[in-house]
Amino acid sequence: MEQLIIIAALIVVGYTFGRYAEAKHYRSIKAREIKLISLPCTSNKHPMCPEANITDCRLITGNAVISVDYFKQFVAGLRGLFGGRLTTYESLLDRARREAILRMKESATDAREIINLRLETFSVSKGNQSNIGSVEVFAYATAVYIKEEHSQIG
Amino acid sequence: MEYKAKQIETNHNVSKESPVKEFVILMLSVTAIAITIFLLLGLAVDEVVDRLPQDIEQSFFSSSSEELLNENQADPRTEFVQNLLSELQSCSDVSIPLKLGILETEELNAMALPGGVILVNSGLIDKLKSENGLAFVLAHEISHFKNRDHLRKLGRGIVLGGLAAILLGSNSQLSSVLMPASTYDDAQYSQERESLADEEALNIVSCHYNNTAGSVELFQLLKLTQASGFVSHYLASHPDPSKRIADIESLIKNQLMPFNPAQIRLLPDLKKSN
Repeated sequence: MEQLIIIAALIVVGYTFGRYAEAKHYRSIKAREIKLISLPCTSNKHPMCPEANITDCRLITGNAVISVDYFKQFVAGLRGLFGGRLTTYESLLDRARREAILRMKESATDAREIINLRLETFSVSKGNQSNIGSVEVFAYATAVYIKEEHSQIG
Repeated sequence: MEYKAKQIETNHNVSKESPVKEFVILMLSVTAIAITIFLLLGLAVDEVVDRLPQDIEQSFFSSSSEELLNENQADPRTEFVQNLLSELQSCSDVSIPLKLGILETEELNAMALPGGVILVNSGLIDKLKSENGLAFVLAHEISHFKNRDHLRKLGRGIVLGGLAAILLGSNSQLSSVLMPASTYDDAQYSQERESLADEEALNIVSCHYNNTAGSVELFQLLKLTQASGFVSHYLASHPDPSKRIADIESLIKNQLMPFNPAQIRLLPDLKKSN
């Protein structure tokens, strides 16, 4: 009986703090995305600007590690019995992806554009293979810089 | 190609369902399925156990239980209680000879093991004052044995434990949530069996002594030592001692069983020789 109470408490705490942290993070993500929206970021192989203007190109990276809370983990465990879409983990990965891309963009705000965006996802487990403790998203791309009079600042 | 900055309005990578709703639906489904499976498997165990003859049970299990008995054979208490057990057994439907073992521990408890062994804790023998009280405890365990309750508990325990292990693997968080659902069902079932054993024990004691007084001595002792909460009552494997006393007293009254407190036999002073 005590175990049930402990688990219920963990679920409630996980849900409350998890939702709060998620909402806060999404607000921050949206605000920063608006700020950086004029910096193009694509997975194209070639830049949109004329290649003659390019002075510099650089590898840029962004990294984000987000952890699950107990509520998400618990629901994922239940889903493991029935199968189906794991909706609780969807927002987790969405946030991690967007955060990684934003951090990458923030490291090259004076670039003309960012091309060849690639994403890699890793799961960092706490040692117990059946529980995904946290997820890491790694974003890398090429930042392209042109002569100063044409550059755009994001 | 031109780049037009545009904010994405809707996020297609995230489902709009509330996670709480999903959690509730999944929990209810899992609990309902677990309860159903446990009920069905419990019925299956009951069917098998009812058809298992006592002598076959003895041949299956006797080897494991014999080891427990060999430690206490020299104890003078063992001889006395074994005699009492054999005498009481003649008033019951148990055909195979039941063997007695004593466990050296303070706890007030006794149990029936598969194979025809009754274990009584030394604490119980020391704390009970009347032979009638001790006889009721032995008769209660004899009734459990006759009703095959020890096999039922063994079967149900294996079945649910095995099922949980198979389905959930090492995910112990989930199995510890399923436990209360099965514990409640198990507890209600177990309490029914305990009440039935109490009733039959009363018949055995009445047959042997022609007197049912002194039967509730153990429960009166338990009332003093146990804490009884509302919730624990529902989940406990045994009914509340007060309820057991009340049920026994009403049985004695309704069936007009012989009740002579003056003729209660006291236990002789049984101490270990060393």
